[in-house]
Amino acid sequence: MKKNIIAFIVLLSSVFSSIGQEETFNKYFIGINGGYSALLGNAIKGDYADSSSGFANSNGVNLGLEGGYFIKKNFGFAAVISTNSFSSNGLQALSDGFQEDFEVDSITLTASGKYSMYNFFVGPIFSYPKGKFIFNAKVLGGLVYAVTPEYKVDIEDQLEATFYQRAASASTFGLQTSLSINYLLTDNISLKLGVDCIYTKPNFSIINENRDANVGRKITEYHQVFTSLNTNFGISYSFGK
Amino acid sequence: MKSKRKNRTYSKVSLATLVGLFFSFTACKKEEVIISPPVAGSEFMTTIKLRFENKSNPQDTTWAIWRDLTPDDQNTPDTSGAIINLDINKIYKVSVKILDETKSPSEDITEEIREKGNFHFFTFFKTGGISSNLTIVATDFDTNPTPFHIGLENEFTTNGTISTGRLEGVLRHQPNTKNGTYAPGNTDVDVFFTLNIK
Repeated sequence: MKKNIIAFIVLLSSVFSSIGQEETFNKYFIGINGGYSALLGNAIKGDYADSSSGFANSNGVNLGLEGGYFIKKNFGFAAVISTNSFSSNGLQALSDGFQEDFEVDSITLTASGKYSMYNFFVGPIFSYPKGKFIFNAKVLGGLVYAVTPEYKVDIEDQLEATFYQRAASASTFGLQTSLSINYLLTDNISLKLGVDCIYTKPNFSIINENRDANVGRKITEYHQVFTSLNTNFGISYSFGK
Repeated sequence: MKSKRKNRTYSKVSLATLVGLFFSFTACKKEEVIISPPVAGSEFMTTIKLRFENKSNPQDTTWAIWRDLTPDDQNTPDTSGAIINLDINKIYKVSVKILDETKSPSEDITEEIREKGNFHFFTFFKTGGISSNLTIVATDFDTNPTPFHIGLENEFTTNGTISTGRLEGVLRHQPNTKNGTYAPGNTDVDVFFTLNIK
């Protein structure tokens, strides 16, 4: 994966750095965008018996801020602060599983919070303007701060039996590749439509509260790949000619 | 000069506000409540059998049976076989068997209880003359991080005193609350035997 990314960067650098003559261009840009995210991998599985299941919803949202500086017209560096979030899904299977394992008449499972990833990425940006359109490609890497939801399980009418799978957080490295098209409304303002892919593998250490018995599904760590495919729409402001 | 400083400060505050709103938007917590309701078609524990094996003479084996084939308690339990006769100064290996005799053939659910021993606890209570003349110790353990007795396998020790009393056997269902005592959870089965030490 890393070799492919490095080769991609070198190829893009050689292609874009040779395009066009030097002319005045906006050196800086900032932008905001948001849209739909699709989560892939074991995190979206909802199999109670499978410890790799994350019970995450495959559909989520993303929101991002970006900025950058162009060294040349076609090449520069960008920074992105973004977030992807996914609610829980398939919780009936989780609740039913606990009900069966504890052999009780009823279980109430309460989920709070979401799977969220807060991303802080930097890396090169390659830009190819054509008329009113600008085609951009970014390859970024950096820090991902990820958070899981919390589950509370109430067993029948036994208050002392209530247990928790607490929300967990983990910081890890992440990668993002993105492609976008900007449409210039003015010299400075453009609308952006983009797609990107974020890859990360956080290592969550999970605290279970009031789980003294060896009964039922009990996850103490969760270390799975989170791949998020995002489409987003936004607005960008470039300046500094 | 003053207006330039004001503009820079205003920009920093605006950016900070934007970033703060950005993260607060994504940090919104929303609760989702899922309920798993009761499932129809339960098993019934209609019959409790106690097997007594004399440790010094394994051929000396006796059974006591408590039976209630009407799980909704329409009829009184059948206690005609719920009488235990033990010899003085003996040690008995005692096994508990639990059956559902509403089914044909009857279903032995003892192993199922044993497999689920991490949240089940079978215990005995003595009343009457046997209270101080009979010692009961469970010999089986569950697989909880701190192991507790399950209570399906026991050792009964009689002393030299002839006596009569009542033996109560209780199966407690203790999901996520088992602590080695009777207190937590609910009662699945509560049965009575007459016990004579001769």
